[in-house]
Amino acid sequence: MRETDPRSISGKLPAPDRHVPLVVVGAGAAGVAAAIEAARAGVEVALIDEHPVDNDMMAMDVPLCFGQRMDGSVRNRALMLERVVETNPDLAAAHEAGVDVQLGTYVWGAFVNGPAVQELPVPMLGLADDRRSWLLGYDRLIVAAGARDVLLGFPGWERAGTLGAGGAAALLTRYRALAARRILVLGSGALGLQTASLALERGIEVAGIVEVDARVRGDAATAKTLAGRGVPFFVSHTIQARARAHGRDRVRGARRRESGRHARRGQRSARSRATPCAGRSVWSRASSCSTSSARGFDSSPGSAAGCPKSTRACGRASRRSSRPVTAPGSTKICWRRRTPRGPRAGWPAPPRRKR
Amino acid sequence: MADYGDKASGASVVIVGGGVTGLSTGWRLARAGVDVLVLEKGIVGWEASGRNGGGATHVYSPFGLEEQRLWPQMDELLGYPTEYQPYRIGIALSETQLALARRWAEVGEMRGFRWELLDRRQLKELVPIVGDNAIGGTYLHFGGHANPQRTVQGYAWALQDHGGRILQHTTVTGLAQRGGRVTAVETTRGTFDADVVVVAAGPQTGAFAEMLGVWLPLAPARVEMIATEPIPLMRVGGVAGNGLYGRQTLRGNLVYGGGPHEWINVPDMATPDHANTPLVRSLARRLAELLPGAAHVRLIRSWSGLVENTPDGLPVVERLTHPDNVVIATMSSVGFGLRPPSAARSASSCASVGASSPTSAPSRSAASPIRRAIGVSDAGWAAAPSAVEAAAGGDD
Repeated sequence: MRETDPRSISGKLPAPDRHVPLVVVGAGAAGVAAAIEAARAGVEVALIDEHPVDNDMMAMDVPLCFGQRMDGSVRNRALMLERVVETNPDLAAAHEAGVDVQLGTYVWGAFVNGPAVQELPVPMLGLADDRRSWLLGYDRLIVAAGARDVLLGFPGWERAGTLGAGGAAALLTRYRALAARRILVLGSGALGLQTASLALERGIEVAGIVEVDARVRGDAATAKTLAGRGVPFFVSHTIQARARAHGRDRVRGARRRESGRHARRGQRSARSRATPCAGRSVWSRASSCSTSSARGFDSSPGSAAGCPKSTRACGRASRRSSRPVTAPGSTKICWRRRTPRGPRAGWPAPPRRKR
Repeated sequence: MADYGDKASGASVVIVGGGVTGLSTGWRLARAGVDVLVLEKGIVGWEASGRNGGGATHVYSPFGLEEQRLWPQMDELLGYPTEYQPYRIGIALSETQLALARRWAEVGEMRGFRWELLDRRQLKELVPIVGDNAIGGTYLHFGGHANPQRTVQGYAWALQDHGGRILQHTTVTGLAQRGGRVTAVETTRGTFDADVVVVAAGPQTGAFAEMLGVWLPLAPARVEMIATEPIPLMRVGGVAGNGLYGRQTLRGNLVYGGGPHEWINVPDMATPDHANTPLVRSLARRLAELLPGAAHVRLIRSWSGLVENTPDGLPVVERLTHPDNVVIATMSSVGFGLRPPSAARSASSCASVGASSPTSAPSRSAASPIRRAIGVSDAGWAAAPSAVEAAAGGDD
């Protein structure tokens, strides 16, 4: 019947125009190294990378959570292409080694035969750029696509200015197009410390590093260096909400209610005491809302029930990942931006113009 | 969804398969006060039942009139939203397509429904995103579309509201027979006694029929669909043509599928993972041709599903004579739109405990018995116009 049905795809799917023995997806350190190694071994290899990403996609937090903190330069595609090449010298090396480097190209599908598909002439990738889509046949595929941002949800988290560590790092390094001056980092794991160090390196002030655990989780030496440079650490704290006040973004923090295994060494009186944080726009407040809500961090058992607001599911994260938001390394950064006050106190602020 | 009755315990009617056919049948029965248990190997409505074109315009079917009568009432009957929206617009980009759209409309007319031929200007007024390549279209004052996922969910909840039970992640492994009847359904989670068994197992229906010694030729095919990001709502969301079926969701997404398909062997009880192929590009291209005003819109999802097809593309809903307490129900690839209201009812009639003679049940229309397949050999029949083709020409 496969042969007689005119509407069956049997035998009708053509092989793509182009076929390469090896495709590497992702031009990070691992992808570039693999591509160069293969090229030196005499294999024809194509290296595909989605950066520079189209400005519209960035605005939708695709593929990383950019939190609308791109500056105007990301609209200049030629400039972005230049920067992506310039900031990743390995790309030039790959090109030199004979790798076919395709930038600004994203992979929307990898198709192989299997139990539910039997009619593909060869394995193939669906590729696209901002103008068109095409197919590329391959024999072997290396996926080195890196990580996506998985965020922690809290009231106000969905507003512009909340970035993922990946989005922040991409804007700081690859694009050099971050529109922010001062950041608060949630999470003191390796990713959090790394992000804070990177920000300092690029001249961005770090208002603090918030850690739900009672101690800094990342590398102690790095933490010490950061502390030495004046970065305050707020251990046993989590974020409660992001709010706007007087035309500025503010973060309301919450001190962890000492319970469970931390109860004995904790200070119960802290619950009723406001805890000032460095910086005018970041402050922390003791609250009965337990930090166990911070599922991305260490959660203390048994205290989540009292805090429905901040335990809500992370919609933005779940949109791009079906995994629960419990990745231990998940890190979130809040960027504050100064905006001019309205013409008269008490007037509603003018709508913020899209950059 | 909560699973009820974790302990193995039987029911008056045990339904094999928690797709739209099984759930709707179960809902009907539960509503009538019958003790019903639905066994689903995965999650209810997780296969093609919950993700499809969502069309409800199958007037050519033996169940077509019932479909048209029942769909507008479904929200109320279920107590849950199905997002049902009435009317359909067919767009033709060529004379051939116009003839096909007309044929579709005229079948409706024969069954007493009204339709209008649209010229390009009228078409553009109704669907602003059609292009100059459209030569005309049809406006059907019947038919419609609904949200498959919500509908399947609605059936499941309504079934439970009426005291019916659903067991998910429970694979049926056998049907125990004694004295010419199926007495129990064997599963990976125990054995469930049953007075009546309804087999509504989609692509696996044929395998179950075979267990009972009944030859039911069913050919599973993989069909694919795409969804775009939302665009402003059109006056009528049920817009299709150019070989595509689909709809605009109430959120604004354009969701379309439609031939060609790939025949898939399903050798065992497991449904293979859903996989897409580069066919989604063909869908996207045809959608851009159909609605050029939306050609810039991004695709955000694609998926595929397996649909089972009878040789003539028409449903099978039959109470077997031997064993005489089993009902086989397959809707031949257009399960969603047509079947919930109408076939559910038919299957229920058949399955109702104590239903005297199966021949008196309304489902015994000329089209639904299995016996018409007698004599159909395994090879070659798929060349006949199938329901897949019908769906591609019209809407599913």
